[in-house]
Amino acid sequence: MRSKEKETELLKRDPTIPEDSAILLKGLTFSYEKGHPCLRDVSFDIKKGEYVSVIGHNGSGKSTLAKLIDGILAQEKGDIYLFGVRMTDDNAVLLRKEVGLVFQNPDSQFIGATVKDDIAFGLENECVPTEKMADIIKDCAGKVGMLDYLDSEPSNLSGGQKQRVAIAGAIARHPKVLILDEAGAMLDPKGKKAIRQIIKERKKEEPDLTVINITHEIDEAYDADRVLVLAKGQLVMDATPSIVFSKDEALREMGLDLPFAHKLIGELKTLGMDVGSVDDEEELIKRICR
Amino acid sequence: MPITLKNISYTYDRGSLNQKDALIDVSLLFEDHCYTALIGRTGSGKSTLIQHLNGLLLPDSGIIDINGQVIDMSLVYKTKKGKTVVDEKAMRKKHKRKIKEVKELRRRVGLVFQFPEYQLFETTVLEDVSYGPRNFGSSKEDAEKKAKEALSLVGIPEAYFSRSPFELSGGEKRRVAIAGILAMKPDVLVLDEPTVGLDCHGQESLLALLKKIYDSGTSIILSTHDMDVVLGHCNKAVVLEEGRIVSVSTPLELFSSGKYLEDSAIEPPKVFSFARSLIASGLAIDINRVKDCRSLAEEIVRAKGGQRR
Amino acid sequence: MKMTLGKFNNLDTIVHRIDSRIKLIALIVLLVSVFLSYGSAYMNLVVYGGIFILLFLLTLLGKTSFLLLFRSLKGLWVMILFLLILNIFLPSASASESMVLFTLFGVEVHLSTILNVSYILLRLILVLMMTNIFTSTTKPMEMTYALEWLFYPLSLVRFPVHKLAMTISLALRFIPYLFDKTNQIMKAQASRGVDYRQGKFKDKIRAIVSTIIPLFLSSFQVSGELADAMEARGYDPDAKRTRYRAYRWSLKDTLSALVVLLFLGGMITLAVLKPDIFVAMGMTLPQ
Repeated sequence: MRSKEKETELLKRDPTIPEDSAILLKGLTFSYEKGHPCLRDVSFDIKKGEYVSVIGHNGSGKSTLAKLIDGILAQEKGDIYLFGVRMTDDNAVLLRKEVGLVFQNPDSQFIGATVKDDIAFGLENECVPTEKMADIIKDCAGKVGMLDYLDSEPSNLSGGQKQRVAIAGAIARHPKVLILDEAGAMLDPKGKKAIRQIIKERKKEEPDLTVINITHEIDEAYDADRVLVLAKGQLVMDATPSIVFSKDEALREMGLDLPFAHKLIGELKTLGMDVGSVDDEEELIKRICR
Repeated sequence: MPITLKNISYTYDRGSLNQKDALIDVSLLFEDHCYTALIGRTGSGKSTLIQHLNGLLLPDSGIIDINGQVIDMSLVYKTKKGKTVVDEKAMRKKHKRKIKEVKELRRRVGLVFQFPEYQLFETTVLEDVSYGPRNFGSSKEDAEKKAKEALSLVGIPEAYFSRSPFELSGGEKRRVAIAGILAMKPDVLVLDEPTVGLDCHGQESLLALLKKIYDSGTSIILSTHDMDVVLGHCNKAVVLEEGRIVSVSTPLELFSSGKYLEDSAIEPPKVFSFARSLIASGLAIDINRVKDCRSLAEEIVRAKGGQRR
Repeated sequence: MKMTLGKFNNLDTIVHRIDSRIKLIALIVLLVSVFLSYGSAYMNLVVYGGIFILLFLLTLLGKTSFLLLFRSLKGLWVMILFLLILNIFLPSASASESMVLFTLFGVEVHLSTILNVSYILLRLILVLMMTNIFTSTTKPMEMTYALEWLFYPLSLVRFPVHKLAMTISLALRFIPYLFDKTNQIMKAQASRGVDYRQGKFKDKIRAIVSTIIPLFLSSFQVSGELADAMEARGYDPDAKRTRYRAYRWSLKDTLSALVVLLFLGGMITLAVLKPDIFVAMGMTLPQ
């Protein structure tokens, strides 16, 4: 067991990092295979309480990024600072307490035998006293709308329900950062909608929660304050959604989807009809009908 | 090749605690050279229905007619103590006999499962794709010829043929897996949620591939949650809800009615609702011609041009 | 296709409510008693009969399915025949002293042979019955807990009891998943013309390979993802953890434990003293 002093020592802030920084990456590089880096020189600073979306084609390094921030993988080069604390091999486990990470596959992240056991898993790891667990479990299950399923086994749940449980399991540990790695990708539209709604609610109830949502869904990316675009392992864009999605050409080239309005404007342009650039669909209708 | 389903019912784990009626009295016609979408929430019976089309599952009751080859599982009755009941024994007998007869169906109705990349196992791409034809008695040369054709159809370059399928990217693996089915030269291609897990680019190229296959005369039946796919590609949309068919129509009729979409928590595609808003705002576009963004743009330009004239 | 024997039956009966640790100990005690010898073949049959009645009652109380039991026995026909043939044609040395019942293909069939075979069979049925009761009335999670509790003394000699228990519970958790996955892969390969029922031996081998390789690959993938998910939620195999499920030892449990121990004592006494009630009652049975 680590002593308290040792822990404080390990979690010492670097004074040069801004106070309001939640996740700061400096020149992060990582490769699974030598010579084929899957992330190259990625740097950004996500502020406390920010809601950030990460988009990119398959294999752009999005998932790897999530695992690096959670300290599951160790970077090759560069630094990761969580709340100003530089991540090292020694303190990765301690820093992880601040991060909740939800993965894509509903089946492989359901650890417990029932919903309540699964939510409890993270609490057991953090040595939460047994008598306190029941309340936390109920609270978190309620937040994701799974209160009626506490005793259900995973084989009797839909993919969407399992993902909601995974979110409950992540937030039960009271992380300051919540990362969702394509949490809705394998779900049907209803499941996807539910996940998106839950993220919105979490943000509303806990404005201080920093959220990173890795997603393919444009609408979801629009919910965020800021969008990071990864392509072939590099950070190629970092701006507000409306700015990012105005770069039609560049996104198209990276094989990324565009918001409907932008797609239509682009198509109209190739047919020789210029309506300028608008985000708002109603405004677009007006301009087309004019 | 037409496929007719008549009063098909199927129950999982009959008699156990987990018993679940997956299909209830489903009757449906897939016309010759159709491009049909099966729509419905997870657990609505889409996957079960799909597995009936090539005889992987045999119905508990009902008749499937696949271009003249009939799987007749219509109920047999007997009288017991003056009451008419289903003759379970006769049904079991029927079932056993049918299992032996369905192999040829597997070739004629090619079925691509969800995440088909998980069925790859051979040491090279070419061998994996020729596995299907080999199972149906093709000689090694013939199987490889078919495999090469299928691979070139799905756009896998020759340089990849001798590579291990496990070295490929996700999208490539999926195309190789689909080639594995296409190499059997099926008359109908059935796909269970083929676009899931692909990024935008991967989806587009897969849909272009399906279009090519359809244009070459093969029927396509797919299950999907993506309404853009339904509007843009399919000529028939079937909605399933808790094991029953609730709607059979063209995609346009389906989205116009909106009725079953609400129940199934499926939204009409943006192109469609946007086109409707344009019409509501007085633009004379023909909604029948709106399939995707491009055709909508063309319609807008046409309508505007018309106005100017 | 579903797993038949050994699946938890989600009910709430008196047998379900017994503490899993006591059920585990009782299971071990019963297993031991079935493999003890109680003197003559007749005495063995009497004791086994007693255990059979006990298990029969527990099966009823725990609402365990008899159907499943019979189904699993169905597969044992070959073994029973094999046992019979082996014992008839290769009788043990002491069998020649026993009474001859009838002759089969010129071979004398002795009474002791028949008795022998029947109590081997009875043993088998008893073992199947008790494991069936245990697995269908105990949640996998509770089973792991009971195992962990039982092995706890081993942790004093630095045996990783907790890790073992976690491994077992994860394995149990993923058995249904792997089952589904296997089924799915078999169907996918069947769609490529693989015939699991008929065909030459060579084709069958390939059919199996075509199932196993994808199954392995997807299991590896899932286990990697699972490891990530566990780590992401702060799991550290070497760290101390608390436990959500509180298992308290109540008076009721002490009483049930006493009953189990008394039963064990009784059985051992029977096995050591080997009393023969038939002799005591003055009955002579054919040998």
